[in-house]
Amino acid sequence: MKYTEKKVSVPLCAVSTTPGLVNKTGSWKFAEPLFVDRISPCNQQCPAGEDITGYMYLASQERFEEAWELITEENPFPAIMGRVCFHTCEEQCNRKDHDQAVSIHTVERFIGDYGLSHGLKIDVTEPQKDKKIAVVGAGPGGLSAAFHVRKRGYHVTIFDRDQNPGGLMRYGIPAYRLPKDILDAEIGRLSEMGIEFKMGVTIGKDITWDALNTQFDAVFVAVGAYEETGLRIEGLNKQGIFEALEFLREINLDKKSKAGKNMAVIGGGNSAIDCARVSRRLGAEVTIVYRRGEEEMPAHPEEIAMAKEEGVGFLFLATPTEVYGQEHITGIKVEKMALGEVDDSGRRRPVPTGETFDIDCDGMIIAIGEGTRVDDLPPSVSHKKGVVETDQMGQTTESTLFAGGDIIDIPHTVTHSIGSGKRASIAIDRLLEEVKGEKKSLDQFRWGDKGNISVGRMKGTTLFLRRNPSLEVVDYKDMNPFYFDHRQGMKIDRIPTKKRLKGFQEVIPSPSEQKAVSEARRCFMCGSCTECGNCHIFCPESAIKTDPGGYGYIPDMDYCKGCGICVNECPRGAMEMKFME
Amino acid sequence: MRKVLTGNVAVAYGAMLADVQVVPAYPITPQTTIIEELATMQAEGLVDLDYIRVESEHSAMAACIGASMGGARAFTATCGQGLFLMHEMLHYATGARTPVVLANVNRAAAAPWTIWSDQTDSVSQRETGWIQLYCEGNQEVLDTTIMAFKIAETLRLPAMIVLDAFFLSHTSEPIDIPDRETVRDFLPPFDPGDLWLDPNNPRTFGGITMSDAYMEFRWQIQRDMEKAKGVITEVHEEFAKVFGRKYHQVEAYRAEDADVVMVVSGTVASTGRDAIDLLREKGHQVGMIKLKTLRPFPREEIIAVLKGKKKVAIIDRNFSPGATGIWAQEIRSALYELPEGDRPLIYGYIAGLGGRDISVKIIEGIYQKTVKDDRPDDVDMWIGVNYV
Amino acid sequence: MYSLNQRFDNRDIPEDELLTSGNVACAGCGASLSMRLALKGLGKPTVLAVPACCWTIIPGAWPLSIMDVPFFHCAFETTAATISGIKAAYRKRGMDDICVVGWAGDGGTFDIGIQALSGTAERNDDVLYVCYDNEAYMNTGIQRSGATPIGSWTTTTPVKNPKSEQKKDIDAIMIAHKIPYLATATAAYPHDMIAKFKKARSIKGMRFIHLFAACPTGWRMPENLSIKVMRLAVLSNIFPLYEVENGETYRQTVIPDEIMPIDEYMHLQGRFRHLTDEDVKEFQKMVDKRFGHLREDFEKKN
Repeated sequence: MKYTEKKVSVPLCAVSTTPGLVNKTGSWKFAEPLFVDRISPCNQQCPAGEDITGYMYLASQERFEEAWELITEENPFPAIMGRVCFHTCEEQCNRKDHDQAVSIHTVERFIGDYGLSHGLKIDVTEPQKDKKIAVVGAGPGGLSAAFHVRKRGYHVTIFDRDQNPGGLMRYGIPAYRLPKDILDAEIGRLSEMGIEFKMGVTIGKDITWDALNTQFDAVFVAVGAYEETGLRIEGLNKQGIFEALEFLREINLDKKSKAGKNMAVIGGGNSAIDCARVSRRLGAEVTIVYRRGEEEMPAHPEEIAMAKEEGVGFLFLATPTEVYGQEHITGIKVEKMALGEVDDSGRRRPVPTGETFDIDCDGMIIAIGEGTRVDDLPPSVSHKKGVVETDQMGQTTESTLFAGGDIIDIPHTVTHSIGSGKRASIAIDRLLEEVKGEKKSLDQFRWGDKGNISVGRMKGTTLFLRRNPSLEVVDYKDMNPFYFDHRQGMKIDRIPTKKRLKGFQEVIPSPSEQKAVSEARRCFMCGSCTECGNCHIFCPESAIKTDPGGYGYIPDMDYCKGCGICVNECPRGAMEMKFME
Repeated sequence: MRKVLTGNVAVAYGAMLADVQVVPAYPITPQTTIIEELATMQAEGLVDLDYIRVESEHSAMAACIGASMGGARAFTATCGQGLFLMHEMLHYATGARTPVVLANVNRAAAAPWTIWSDQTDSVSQRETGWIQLYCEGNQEVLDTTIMAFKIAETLRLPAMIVLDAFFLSHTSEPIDIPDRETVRDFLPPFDPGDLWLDPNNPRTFGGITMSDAYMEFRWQIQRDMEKAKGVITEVHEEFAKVFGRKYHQVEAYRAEDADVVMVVSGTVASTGRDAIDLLREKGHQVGMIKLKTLRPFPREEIIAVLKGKKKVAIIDRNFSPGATGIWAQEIRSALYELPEGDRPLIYGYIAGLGGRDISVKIIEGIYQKTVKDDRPDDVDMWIGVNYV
Repeated sequence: MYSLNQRFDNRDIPEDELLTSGNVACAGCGASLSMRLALKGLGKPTVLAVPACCWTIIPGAWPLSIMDVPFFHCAFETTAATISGIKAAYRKRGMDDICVVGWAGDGGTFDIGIQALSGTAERNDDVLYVCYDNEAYMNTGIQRSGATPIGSWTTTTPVKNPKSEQKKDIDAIMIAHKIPYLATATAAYPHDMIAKFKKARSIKGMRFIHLFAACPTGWRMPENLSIKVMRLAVLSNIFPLYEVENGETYRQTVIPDEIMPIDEYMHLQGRFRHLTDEDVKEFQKMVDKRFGHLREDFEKKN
């Protein structure tokens, strides 16, 4: 054959004939990217175990109903929470290191109010179970426990010695912080769920604890802490001297106040602030007398600030040593204090100086802390000075008896109580459903090692946190903050002081939808894949592809070279590199 | 239509008649008037071409390759230094299989500066894979320009028209200008087939090739160069049929009964004919062949003419320092395969470098020396060098 | 699901991929990502000519190619001339809507290709020339180019004798050609980059886009830092992002919230590891000076 007639196996020139996809360049890598849904610090912080990140996201999308449903998965009272929770979540917010923490409670309050104004209801979708639960105490802990066990299909009866449910939310918190119509409306939803309320019944008196134990398969006790820690000074038997909770209860019951014109409030906690601000609204001049400095006050800084706006005076480093007056108080003798060593609470201990002076007053409120009345507790329960002994889940030494709220060893806040009720409901369910295994296994459903257990995580219904869920909490340094611009947070409106002092109108008006959405859009959504697409956009291999399953992205390991750009450029710390074996 | 045209203008006419579409051009003496003429033709609407006034010959050839990859008929012209500068891209055009056509006006190499003619520039491109078509007169220049497109596009190999500086480029001759429509019938528009940058068929051209495939690509160039011999002959024949003028890769003149055959290329062929006629009148058995193609090298045709001759005298208007003239090298190696009795003695002569005249007298002198010397010198004989 | 709180909305980025996976660039290659994003901005019909550079290798060796647009491998110094020729062919063939793009590295642009580039720019040919600048001859193994920054290590400027000259100001050179459009861009700012490619496509005449493309291999840094380092170059004014129309109208397209000192940018890269604090201070002055001139242009010529 003449060689001009021969043929070769290639085209005339080097024109490509084969897709480059045959190069499986993924074989080069020694590490691979992994989508890991981590936990935001706010979620970990939330004592009620709410999915803050999730509902922030939904609110940012104006999907308020879904946001409301997400909150009520964990906490029955978003409208109350948005008002009375001291939102320590905001102290943990990663955005504080960027510009200013997100005003989470504002968004929650908006969602809560949205739920009320739109008549959103809780559906009990679980099948009705034949076991019965008794809840003793209709405060936040009891209501929360009732709510969560009811959602699991149990029949629930709540007992409370008061005529109306709410406990401290009703009788302790003044209306300018929590209007009664909000409280009634949110508790009202619980009746609609089929929870039975038996009000005006004192267990241990009207019904015996034993009878209760017999009638019900499990009992949850959250009777609260009503015993004022005593102030051990002379002259406390005079008229015009009140204990904080008693004082607040009377106001909340609309009874005529016996407050004077010139009040001294002893203590530095939130109750002290409440008492002081209520007194101002009753027309009194008020001085808070606190034995340490302002820095050491346990009251929430925003509460202190509002008290100051309302003209409450503060006398720091002072403690009463004697009450003056005949039948009625006319003044107190106080001793100057100094700050000594740091004590167990992490604050500097007040040390007496011996130096005293007098102040005039015609009324005094003692607000230095509350303990449990041992008489309120079931006689069989094990406790230490009124603090009921329980495990992490609220189970007492008696297997069918659970406890929560202020009678167990948790901070005395509404939110902590709600969290304790939820935990106990899970434990009760496990007990009655005879779930075997260690309770420790529930830890995987916590929002981080220190967080509360999430019902959503247990059910796998959280908005985020579905892929490779981790207990790791995302820190600001784990994120790529470049992708977030700097945007100052909203200013929280308060009605003018003059208007405040005229009555018990709510101090902080309801936020507008626009404000709530704008604030929700400031949320970083730390640790969660929001499908922002950075990993996809920045991949030099075009190897991060949309998940055909519908959520987020998946790396195509055939082509991923393991460079790690996606992990570095993930704004939220929701990815990590894993070295390959 | 008959016109008196310089060789350069004849090139421009050829390109115009070929309906070239893209002309990237850069001026250089003595080629410049080609691209000037094309610019004028374009400005006057005689030809619908895209004229790219590039900043160098290197870019001119790069743009030609680009245009050809874009599926257009591309043409440029250069000479001497310009062609040297293009060298890299000449290889590239071949490898990319772009049928670019280039007119090269033979100009000697600097330094020292010179603008006069010799073939060093074009013969230096021998290995680039370009078809090289040398011309003797202006009519041939015009006709070859038209044919070059047909040859190149048939083979998808680039082609170069070669004409002597000044002897042709700036010398006027009366020539026939073919009818445009007839040329269009002879040379239809460029059809790139599927080897072009077709946006609807996205492929990558010229990607890195490993040693398992490179030789196959190069072999195809060689195969098609070999095919080119036949294609050129066919195009010559078709051209003759349409236009009545016949060209040959190897044109013999009174060589049939000659003992000594002179071998020339380019304009020397015209002078050569006069010299042969004169020598024949004096009774010498002498003939001549004019070579038109250096690449592909018409080995078989040359053997056919020179087989059995006593002596062959090759006049090279070029040389390869340290070796011999290029045409001489080629012919020596072609004739070596003849059996000893049929193999003529080969005499190589270097003459006319840098535009020095190769007159009838000089050709006569070369003949005389060839006859007189029993054996050729070891190296080429340099004609007309003023030794001191 | 998409978060509305992010600085850039990636939903704006075109979905279409005009190349596939399977490229053979090093991991974390800024150049390969740059092409992917550029093509997202350009869309079809687009045709590429690419000279000797990393992108000679990246699409895959013959017979493979990851490209979904026609792609011509041209000679090193001929990018601009080649695209002038391709565009002329398309124009003659009635296909003037095709965007013809030259895509060359810094060596092919700042150094060997600058003559052809200048020619094409001066003629205002209707093409887009893109230089992806990774600041050295990376494909040949990290040799100094005219784009290598002062102080940098390369294999031809070893640490005992690092590059002592400043980077050639190719943008000023191109601006001086008064071309219709010039832009600087980087894949760290994909929205800005894609917008510029879209804009470039819509403009007739010569367009030049200078891309800053990190090379983890040549810059001696971990692959995952590519985007970060490109971003830092912008944030510290080493590679300001702007565009210039007709050589006279300047616009800075990305204005950093806060200008960062060059220190972090330098410290992340091994090619600068040998530099002293004094060196970095000196270079900071150069960066400030150069940006100062640019800022005047931003302010006065807009």
